Amino acid sequence: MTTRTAGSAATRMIVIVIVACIAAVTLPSVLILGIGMLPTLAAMITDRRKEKYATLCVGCMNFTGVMPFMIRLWTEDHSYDHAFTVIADPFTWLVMYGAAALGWAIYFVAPGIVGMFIGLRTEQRIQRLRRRQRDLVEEWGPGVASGRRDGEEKEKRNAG
Amino acid sequence: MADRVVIKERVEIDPDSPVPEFDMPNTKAYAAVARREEHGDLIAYVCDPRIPFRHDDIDSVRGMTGSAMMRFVEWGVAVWAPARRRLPVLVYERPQGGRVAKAVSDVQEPMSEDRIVRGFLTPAVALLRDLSTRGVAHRAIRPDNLFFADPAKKLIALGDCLTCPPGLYNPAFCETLEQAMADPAARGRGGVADDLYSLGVCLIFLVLGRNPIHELGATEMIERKINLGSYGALTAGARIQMNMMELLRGLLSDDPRERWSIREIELWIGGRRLTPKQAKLPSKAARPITIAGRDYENVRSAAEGLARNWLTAGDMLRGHDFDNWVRRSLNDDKVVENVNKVLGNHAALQGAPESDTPRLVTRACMALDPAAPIRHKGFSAHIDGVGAALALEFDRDDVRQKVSDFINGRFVGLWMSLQARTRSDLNELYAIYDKLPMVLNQTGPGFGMERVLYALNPHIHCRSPLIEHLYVTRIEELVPALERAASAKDRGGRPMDRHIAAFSVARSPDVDERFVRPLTGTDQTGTDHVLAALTLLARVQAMTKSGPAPALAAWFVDLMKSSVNGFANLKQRKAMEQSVTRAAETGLLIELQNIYGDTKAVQRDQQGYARAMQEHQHCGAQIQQLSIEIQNREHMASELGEQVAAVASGVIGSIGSTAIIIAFML
Repeated sequence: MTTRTAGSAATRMIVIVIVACIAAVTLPSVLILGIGMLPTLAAMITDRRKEKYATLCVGCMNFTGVMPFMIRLWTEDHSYDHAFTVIADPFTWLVMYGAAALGWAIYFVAPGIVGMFIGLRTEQRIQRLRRRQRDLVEEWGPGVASGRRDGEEKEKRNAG
Repeated sequence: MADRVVIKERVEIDPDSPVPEFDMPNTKAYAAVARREEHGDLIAYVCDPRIPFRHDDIDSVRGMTGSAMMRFVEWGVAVWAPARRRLPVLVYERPQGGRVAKAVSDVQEPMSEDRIVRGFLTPAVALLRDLSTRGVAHRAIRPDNLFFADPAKKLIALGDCLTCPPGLYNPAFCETLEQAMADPAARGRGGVADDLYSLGVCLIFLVLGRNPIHELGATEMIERKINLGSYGALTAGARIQMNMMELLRGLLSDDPRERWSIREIELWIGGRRLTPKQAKLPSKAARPITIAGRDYENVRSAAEGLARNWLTAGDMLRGHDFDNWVRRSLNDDKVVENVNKVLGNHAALQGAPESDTPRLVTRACMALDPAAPIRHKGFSAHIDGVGAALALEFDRDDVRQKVSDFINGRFVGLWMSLQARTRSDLNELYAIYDKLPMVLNQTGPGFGMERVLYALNPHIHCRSPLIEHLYVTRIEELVPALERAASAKDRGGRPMDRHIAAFSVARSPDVDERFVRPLTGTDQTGTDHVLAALTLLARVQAMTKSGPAPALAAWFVDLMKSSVNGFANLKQRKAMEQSVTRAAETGLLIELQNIYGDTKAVQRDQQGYARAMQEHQHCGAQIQQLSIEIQNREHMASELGEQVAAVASGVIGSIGSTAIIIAFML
């Protein structure tokens, strides 16, 4: 038990060290990523659902918005200066946060569209079933709806 | 003025010209003329539909030549306008000299022996020989059925014998003891010996110019004949020449074995003369037996007394007196043997239940007088006469009951076993009687007394009220007759009843009991009964090839409407209505039967209806379910929408990222 706890602590330490090293090496990228992915962080904080659909929705779009600037940093000059230059550009903010907003938009609009689709499909099925019932009545007479034959109905009327 | 009636394009009958002097009892005579052939004046007898005529014997009598009998010309069933129905009509050549005696009670000038022999006896004997060769007996020889064949009134001819059952109108004094004991309608075919006896009675009438005992009732006549012998009873002491006496004693012998044959008469006519035989009277018992307060001295009269007093004779039969009388007083081994055979010993007789008394009386009568007709509960009949008796009085409940008891008694086999002579012609009849109780005791249409009627009368017409007036005698005529009935404006009910069912089974070998049993169902008003009737008549129509019957088919369509309406499937119902209409137009009942009798279609319809109901309910349940789903749409949409949004974002993001990477790489 003690050996296992010590092993996991060591592994965690190794991972932290490696991440810290990588972060130290790729600090400009981490800077852009950290600032650019803030809407996703906010979504993660506000998303109460276990499945985290809102985080996924905003995160995917947000990451897509951040990705071009990350690639520019990597391909042109991976430095603090260049990172600050990118961050200082309002267009960068527009793209990163616009993409996140698009994610939110998708998240909010999708249920409405899905609801409309479900309603439409259900109505169609009901129409189809009603048409089938009409066909049955047309073929077998109204008794088929009430579970009686025509003759029995006539008898009932006569008795009435 | 009624139109002339034409029989087979040969004879024209004028319904407005009755010839009452030639009338037979219950049968009117009308003047007729031949269309083509050379015939003298004709007379047509229009038969009473209640009385069965002798259809079987027509072909035998046709073509008979000679002057000893009215010459038969033609017959046919024709529309008789005055009666508004079809009736059988028999046409004869008209005797030129008129009737010899209008009634049996007539008194007239006695005829000479020579005139009788030349003008009556000789031709009559030749005729009877001819008839005998053809297997037919005349059986209507009586004084009031003799006619002068020529205007000079020298030749005497016998009148019609075909318009009624044998011996029906013969008074008891004209009949042999065995025939006189039977009910007039139930005397059976008889034979030439019966004709010769009747000939003897007619000779007495001609010789004496009167009937000395015509006023006597049948019962008294029979008693006298038994006790005095026929000759003594019929001549009643009148003087008769010795020559004629020999002939008459020979002809009027009560023992059929001793009765003169045609050959003996011919020898007598030829000049042979013998001493007249004394009548052989039945031997007297040592002491008489008392039945219902009357003493009877011989076995035959005792049998007659028993039969007449059948209601009260049971106790006497069970008592020691009867047994002692038979075994000790009669001194007749044959009778004792017969009694032992049909009644058993005295102990068995005493042990028989009370309800068996009428049967015991009948058996006792048969044992005592085997030659007599079978006498049961007041009904006295020869076995080949029961059919005619039933046909004549079929509407009377008491007659039907008597015949029913007679058949259920199963006496025929026993009676035949007691006969001294075996009659091969009765074997076929015995086979019929053997099956009749089974048929009689079933109550449904196609069975019962109606079936007995047609089984015992092979040529009688169908008595169904629906077609009785059309006089249908053959199965081939049944469907066309029903077609005519169906075309009538006032048609009602159904084209099937007990008579039609029984007639069909009895007349057609192609219609067996499988076709009439479905008519037996308790519900005689339902479509099942109509369908059974349709099936039966379709079979008859198909087997007899009697042609289309559209009106009858339309009648069935009317009756089967509820059956078509019973189809739940409206499309199938409409299709069925169309096919029924088409089938009815063809007039072929088998087509209708194929449609209505398709039980699989009914089953399919019922199953389809059950499935349809189930499906309708299922659809309803689904609609209800979906309606609930619509109400919960918001919740479902939000649940599913978030998933969809996540997936959509993922997909869009992936595509966007890939596009960006590619853009930078280029």
